[in-house]
Amino acid sequence: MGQFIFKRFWHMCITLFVMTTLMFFMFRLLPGDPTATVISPALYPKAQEALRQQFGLDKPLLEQYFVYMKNLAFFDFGISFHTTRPVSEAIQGRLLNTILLVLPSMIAAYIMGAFVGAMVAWRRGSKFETILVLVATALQSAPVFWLGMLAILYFSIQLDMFPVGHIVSPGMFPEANWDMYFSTDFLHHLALPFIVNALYQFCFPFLLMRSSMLSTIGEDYIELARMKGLRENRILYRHAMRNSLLPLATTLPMILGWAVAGSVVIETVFSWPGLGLLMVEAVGRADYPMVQASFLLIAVLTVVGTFVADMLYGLLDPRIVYN
Amino acid sequence: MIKNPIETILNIDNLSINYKVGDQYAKALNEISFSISKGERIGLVGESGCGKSTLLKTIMGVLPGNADILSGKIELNGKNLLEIDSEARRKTRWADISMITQSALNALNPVQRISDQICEAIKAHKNVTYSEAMARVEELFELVGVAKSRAREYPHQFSGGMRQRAIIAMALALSPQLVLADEPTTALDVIVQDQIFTQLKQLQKEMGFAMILVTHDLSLVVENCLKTIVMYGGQIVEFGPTDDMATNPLHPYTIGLKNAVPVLGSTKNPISIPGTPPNLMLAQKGCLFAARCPLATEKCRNEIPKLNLAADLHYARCHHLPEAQQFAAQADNPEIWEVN
Ligand SMILES: Nc1ncnc2c1ncn2[C@@H]1O[C@H](COP(=O)(O)OP(=O)(O)O)[C@@H](O)[C@H]1O
Ligand SMILES: [Mg+2]
Repeated sequence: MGQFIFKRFWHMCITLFVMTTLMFFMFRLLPGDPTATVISPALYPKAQEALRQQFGLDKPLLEQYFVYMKNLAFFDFGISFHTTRPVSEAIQGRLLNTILLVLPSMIAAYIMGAFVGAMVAWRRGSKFETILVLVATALQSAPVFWLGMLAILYFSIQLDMFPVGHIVSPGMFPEANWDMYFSTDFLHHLALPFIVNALYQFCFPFLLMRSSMLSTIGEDYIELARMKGLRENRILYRHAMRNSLLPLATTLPMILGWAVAGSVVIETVFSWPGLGLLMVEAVGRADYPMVQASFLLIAVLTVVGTFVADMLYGLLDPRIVYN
Repeated sequence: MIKNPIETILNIDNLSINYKVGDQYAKALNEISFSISKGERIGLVGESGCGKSTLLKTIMGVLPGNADILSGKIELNGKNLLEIDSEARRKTRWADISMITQSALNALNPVQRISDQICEAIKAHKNVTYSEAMARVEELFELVGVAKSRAREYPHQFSGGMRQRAIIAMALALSPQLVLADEPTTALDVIVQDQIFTQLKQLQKEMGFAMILVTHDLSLVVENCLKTIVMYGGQIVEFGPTDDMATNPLHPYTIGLKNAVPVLGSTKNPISIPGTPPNLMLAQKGCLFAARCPLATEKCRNEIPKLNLAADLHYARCHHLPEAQQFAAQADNPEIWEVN
C-alpha cells in the first residue's frame, strides 16, 4: 500500500513536470509577440532592450525555462503583464474562490446523486424514478452556461432572490479579507452558482448510481444477505449501496477534472472571481504569465484530485492489488 | 406421504409457483408435497430448469418479485411460513433454515471480510457482542477445516474450496435445524468435492441438522442421502428411499437419469435422454415427460398421472409403473430412447 502511494505520487510529479514544461514552450512558440503589450514597439529600442533584460527575455529560451522552473519551485509565477504585480498575489485569492465554489457543490452533488440514485433503484419502477431519470438525462446534456443564465434570469432578475453575480456586494469588503468569507453576503452570492453547479453535477452520479444499483441488486450476495435474515436497511446500505459505489469512485477523477475545468464556464456566467474567470480575463488581456499560471493551477487541481480519488478507490475495494 | 408429526421439521404441502414472464406464466413448481424429518438427508435431483432452486428459494422466502405463490403450505415445526408476518419470517431465516448456495464466489460480498459476513448473520439473530460473534466465527472455521487465522480475509483471497467451506461455516453459524444445499460443489473439482461432502456428513452427524441436497448428479445423492426426490418440469415424479430407487427406479425419467451417469470401470457409454425439458409456459395436458418417454401412450398424453405409491415408501408419477422393471432392463440401449 505504502509503495503504491509512493509510486502513484511519483507518477503525479512526473505528469505535473511534463505538463509544466509543455506549457512553457507552448506559450513561447505561439505566433505573435506576447510581450508587445508591455514592451511597446513604439518605445525607444534602448528602452525596449532594458525592459527585455528586466523580464529576462534576452536570455536563451532554455535558460529562461530553467529560471521559470526554479521560480515555480518557490511559488513565484512571475510578474503580470497587466498589473505588473506578482502573479501569485492575484492567484491566491482566486484559487480559494474556485475551491469554495467547486468543491462543496461537487461533494453535495455526489452525495445526493449516490443517495437518490440508490433509493430510486431500490424501489424500482416508481413514477418518481421515471421522471427523475428523464430530467437528469435532459439536464446533463444541457450546457451549464445556459442553465446558469436561466437561473440568473429567473431567480435573480425575475424573483430578485439572489444577486446577479460576483462574490460579495460591491464595496462591502473593500480590502477583500477573511471576514468576507464569513459573511452572509458571501453565502448569498454563493447560493445560486452553488445550486446550479450542484444540480448540473448531480445528474451523472445519480444516473450512474442508479444503473450500478440495479445490477448489484441482482447479485447473489444480495440474495444471500436476504436469506441470512438481515434487516432490509442493512442489506440496502451495507451490501447494495456500498458495492454500487465502486463505479462512482472510479469515475470520480474524471469528473473532478471536468468540474475544475468547467469552473471557467460557471465562473464567467456568475462573474465569480475564481481561477477560471481570472484565466478568461487574462487571455483577453494577453497577460501570458497570468494565463500560464492559471492553466497550471487548474491542471494541478485536476491531477491532485485524480490522485486522491485513486487512493479513495483503493480504500473502497480490497480487491485492488497494490504493486 | 409419510409424515411423523413428532419428528417432521419441515412439511411442504401442495406448493405451486408461477413466474410471470412478460404477460405469460411459467409454472415453475407444480403441486409439490414432501416432508423432511429431524436429521434426515434428502437428495433432490433433476435436469437444470426443473425448479430445484425455485423450491429452495421458496423455502427461504427469497423468491424474486415476478414469482407468485399460487397455493400450498410450508410448515416449519407446524407453523406455516407463508402466513407469518415479515419480521417473524426474517427471524426464521438462517436461524432455523440456512442455505449453502450454488456459487460460493458470487454469494460472498467481494468487498467485505468473510468474518464480517458471518458475524452479521449471527448478529441479525442474536444479541451478542462483536467479539462473541468473532469467537463463534473462529470456532466455525475450525469446524469446516479452514485455518481460523484466515477468517478476516476477503473472498478473493480464498480458493474455490475454501470459499465453499466458508459458506458452509456461514450456514452452520446459528445451528439451524435444516440446511438447504443448492448444488454446493458444482464449481469444484472432484477431489475437493469429495472432501467437502465427507466433511458435511461428519458435521451433520455431530450437529444433527436435516439437509436437502440439490444436485443434478445422481451419484452424489446415492452416496449421501437416504431419500431421493426426482423432479421434472416443476413436479415431483418420483420419491422414495435412495437404495430402492437406485436398484429399482420406477419412473422412466429416473431410469433415464441413472443411465446418464457414467459408471467407473464399465464399458457402457452413458446415454443422456434425447429431447428437451417441457415448456413450462404451456398448460399441462398429460404427463410432462410423455414427449421424451419411450413408454408413452395416448393415455400419457391426455391424462395427468398422480404420484402413486408403488413400493414401500416409494412413489412415482407414471401410468406405466408395472412396466418399469422391464423397461429399466433395456434402458442402456440408446435406440430405445429414440422416440419419434
Ligand atoms: N426470476 C425468474 N423469472 C422467470 N422465470 C424464472 C426465474 N427463475 C427461474 N425461472 C424459470 O423457472 C424454471 C425453474 O428454474 P430453477 O428453479 O432455477 O431451476 P433449477 O434450479 O432446477 O435449474 C426454469 O424454467 C427457469 O427458466
Ligand atoms: Mg438451480
